Amino acid sequence: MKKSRREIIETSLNQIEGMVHVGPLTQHPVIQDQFGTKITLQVEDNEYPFDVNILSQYPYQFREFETIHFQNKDYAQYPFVSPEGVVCIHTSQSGDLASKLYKDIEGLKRWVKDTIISQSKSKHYEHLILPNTGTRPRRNFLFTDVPCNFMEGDFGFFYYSNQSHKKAGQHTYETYLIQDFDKGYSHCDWSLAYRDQRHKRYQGFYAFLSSPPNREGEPRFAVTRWEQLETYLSQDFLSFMWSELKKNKKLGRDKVIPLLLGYSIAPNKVHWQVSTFPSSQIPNYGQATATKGKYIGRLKDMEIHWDQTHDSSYELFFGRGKLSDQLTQGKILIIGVGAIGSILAKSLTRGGARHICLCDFDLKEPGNICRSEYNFAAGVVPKINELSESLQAISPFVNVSHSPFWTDLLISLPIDNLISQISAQGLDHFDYIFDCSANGDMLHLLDRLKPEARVISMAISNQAQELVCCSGKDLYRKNQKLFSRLTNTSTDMYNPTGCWNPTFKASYNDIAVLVEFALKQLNLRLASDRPTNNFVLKTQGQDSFGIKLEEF
Amino acid sequence: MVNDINQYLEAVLKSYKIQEDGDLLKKHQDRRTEIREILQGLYPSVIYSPFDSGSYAKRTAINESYDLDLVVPFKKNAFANLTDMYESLYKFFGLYLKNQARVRRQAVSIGIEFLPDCDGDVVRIDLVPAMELEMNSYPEDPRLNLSVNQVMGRVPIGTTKLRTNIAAQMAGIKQDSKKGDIRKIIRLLKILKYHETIYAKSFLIELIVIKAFKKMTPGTLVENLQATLRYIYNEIERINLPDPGNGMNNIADTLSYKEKRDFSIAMLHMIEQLEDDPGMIDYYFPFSSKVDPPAEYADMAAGATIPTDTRFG
Repeated sequence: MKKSRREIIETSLNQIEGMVHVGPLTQHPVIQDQFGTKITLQVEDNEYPFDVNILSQYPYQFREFETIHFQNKDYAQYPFVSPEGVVCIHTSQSGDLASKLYKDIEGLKRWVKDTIISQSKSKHYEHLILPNTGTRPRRNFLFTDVPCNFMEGDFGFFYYSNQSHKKAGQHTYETYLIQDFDKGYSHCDWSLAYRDQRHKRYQGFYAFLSSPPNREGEPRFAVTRWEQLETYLSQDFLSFMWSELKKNKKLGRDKVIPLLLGYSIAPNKVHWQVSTFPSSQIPNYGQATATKGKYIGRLKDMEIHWDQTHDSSYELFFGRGKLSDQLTQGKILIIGVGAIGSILAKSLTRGGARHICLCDFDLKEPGNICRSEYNFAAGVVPKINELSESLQAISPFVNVSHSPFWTDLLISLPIDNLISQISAQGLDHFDYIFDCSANGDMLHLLDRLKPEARVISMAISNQAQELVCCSGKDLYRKNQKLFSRLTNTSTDMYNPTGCWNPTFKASYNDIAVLVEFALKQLNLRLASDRPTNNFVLKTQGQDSFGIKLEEF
Repeated sequence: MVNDINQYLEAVLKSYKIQEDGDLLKKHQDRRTEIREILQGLYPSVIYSPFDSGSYAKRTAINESYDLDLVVPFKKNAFANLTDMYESLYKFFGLYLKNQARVRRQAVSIGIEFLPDCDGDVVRIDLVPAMELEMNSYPEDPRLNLSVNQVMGRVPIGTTKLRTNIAAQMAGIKQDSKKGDIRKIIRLLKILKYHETIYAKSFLIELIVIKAFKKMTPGTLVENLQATLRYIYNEIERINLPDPGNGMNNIADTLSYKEKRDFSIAMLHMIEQLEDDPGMIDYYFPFSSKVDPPAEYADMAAGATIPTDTRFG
C-alpha cells in the first residue's frame, strides 16, 4: 500500500542523520496537506531546535520560494534569516517528497555549520530588512552611480523625477529616478534622455551615514522609529532639515517628502535607503536647552515609513549579462534600421551599449512590424524616432541620437564637396559603423570614404536563408563576391498591394536568429581583442534547423 | 571568372607594383628627405645618417599600403634612455605636423600618415628611432637598440632593449628573397594583410615565407602559394623565426598565442575555400585599386555589381 504524505514526512524526518528529536506532526486545521512539527538537529556537538512548517505545495516551490520553513526567532540576527526567524535556504528541486526533505534538512545543517558554528560572514552585501509597507503606495526610488565621493556627514538636497505611476490590484506602484545631488552639482549616470530637464524634478533631503541605519544590536534590521536615527544624523543636518521644512514649500511630491540615507557598502560603492514622511508630520523638532534661545535637534518617537530603493547602476543593470566592453563602450552608428538594423539596435542596447546613432530616412509602416522591432501602437512615424524611443525605454544608459539626412548628404554630394567631407569626418567619431541598409551604393560610398571606424555590413538573402557579414575595407567587392556564390536564388518575393517595390520574404524569427548569431560571432572576436572577420551564415534543413558558419 | 590562376596572380602582383618613375614614390622620397633634414637640424651632433629599411628597399612593397621605413640611429648620449628617445620624437612630430599628418604610436616606430594631397595620395613614413649600443660604437657595430612602446605579441610593453641589426636584417631578406617566387609570395601575403585577411608584421611575413620555401619543393606560383599557406597553417603556432639582425630575437613572438592561432585558422579557411572554389582567388587577391586591371579581367573590378534583388536588410 502506498504511504500517505504524513507517513512519508514522519519516516523521512526520523531517518535523517543528526536528527535528535522529531515532534508529533500536526495537521493544519483547514489545509489538509499542510503540517507542522518541531525538530532538533545535532550539528557537530550542539543541538539546534526549529519549528518546521511544511506547506501544501511542498515539495514544489511556490513563486520561487521554498515551501518548507525552518523557524527559530533566536536566530533572527544571523544572515539569511527573516525577521520572524525563518531560515532562507535554497536547495535543488525535486518532485519526490522524501528526497526533497532530505536535501532541505541537509541544506539546513550546512547553514547551521557555516553561519552559527563557523560564523562565516559572506562578502555579499545583504540589504537591511525593512518593515512591511502595509497599505501605503509602493514607492520605489532607482539610483545609479554618481561621480562624486560621499563622505560621512555629507548632507543636502537631492532631486528626483517621476518614472511611472501605476495602479495594479490593490496597490499603487510609484517609481522615481534619483537624478542629482547638490554636492558638487553631481548628476547621476543616466543617459541624457533620462536626465532631460523637461522631466519635472522634485526635491528631497539626503544624508550620508557612517554605517547602515540598523537597530541597535540587530545589524540586519533597519531602525523603525525616527528617534532611533538620532545617533546616525548630525545636529547640522537636523538643523538644516528643520529650517528647510519651515521655509521651503517646494519639497517632495504630493506633500510626501523623502529622506535618502546613504552609506558605503564596498570601496567606491554606495547604497541608499529612503524613508518618506508627509509634510504634515515632520519627524524632527527643536528641544530647548539650558541655554536660553539654544535648541538641539531631536527626532520624534514616530514610525519610519521606509520605501524601496533599487541600485540600478550600469554594473548591476547589466550584471546578469552583457556584450563585450569593446562594443558597449564604443560609439556605434547603424545605417539602415529595417529588420536587421532594428533587431541589431535592440540587441546592442540590451547588451549594454552606451552610444548608438541611428540613420535612416524611411517611415515605419504597418507592414514593417511583423519582422522588425517596431510597434503598431506607435503609428506611422520615422523609423529612427520610434526606435530611439524604444531603445531609451529599454536602457537608462544608452544615449541614442539619430539623423534622417546624414547618409543623404554623403550620397548626394560629390566626394570633394566641403559639406560631404564634414559629414564624412563625422563618421570618424564612431568606433563601429554597422551598415544594415542593404544598399550597395552605401557600401561603395563607405569604401570610398574609408572612415576610421570599423565598418561592418550585414545583409540577408531572400527568405533569410543566408546572412553575409563583412568587415573592414573593400566591403562592396566582398559582398558582391559572397552574394554571387549563394545558392539561394529564390525570386519568390512579396509584393505589397499597391506598391511598386517587391520585398524579401522572411519572418522576424527567420531574421532575428541570424542577426543574433552574427552579433554573437562579432562579439566573440571583439571580446578577445581580435578583429572582426568576414563570414556567411547558412541555414540548413527543412525538418530540423541548423546554422552553418562559413568564415573567409 | 578566373581561368588560369597563375596568370591571374601574376596580373594581380603587377597591379600592386610600385611604379619606380611614379608620383607616389617621389612623394614618399620627398617627405623622407624633409623628415631626415628636420631630424639632422634638430639633433645635429648626436644623430647618424637615417636610412631606409622598409619593404621598398627589400623590394617586397605593394602600392596599396606603401610606406617608407626610416631608421634614425642616435648616439648613446642623445637621450637619457630609449623611452625618452621615442617620446621626444613622438611629441615633436605630433606638434610639428599637427595639421599635416596623423602621428601615432606603433610598436617600435612612430607612424606618420600625411593627409591626402590634391591627387588623393597618402604618404606614410614609419620612423624607427634607434640608439647605438655604446658611445660611438655605431660606425663599427651596426647593432641598435629599439624602444618597445606597445605590446607586440609576446613582447611586452616597456621591454627596455630590443636589440637588432637592421642593416643585417635587410641584407638577409634581400638575399634570401631573390630565390624563386619568394618575393612574389611575400607580396601576395602582404596583399592579404592589406585586405585584413591576416594580421602580422611584414617582417614576420617575410621570414616565414623564406622559411616555408626552405621546406617545399618549388612549383608554379599557385603551387608555391598553396604550399606556403599550408606551411603557415601547420607551423605558425610553434615556429621560431630568428631575427637575422639578432638571433636572440624571435620574430614569431611579435604575435601572441591567440594571434598565431588566428593566423593559422585564417590560412585554413583560405585553403578550404580555394580548394572548394578556385574562383575565390579574386576574393582573396583582388586587383590593386591604384591601377586599372588588364582588359581580360576588367569585368571583375569596377564592372561587378551587387544585383539589387539579392541582398536585403
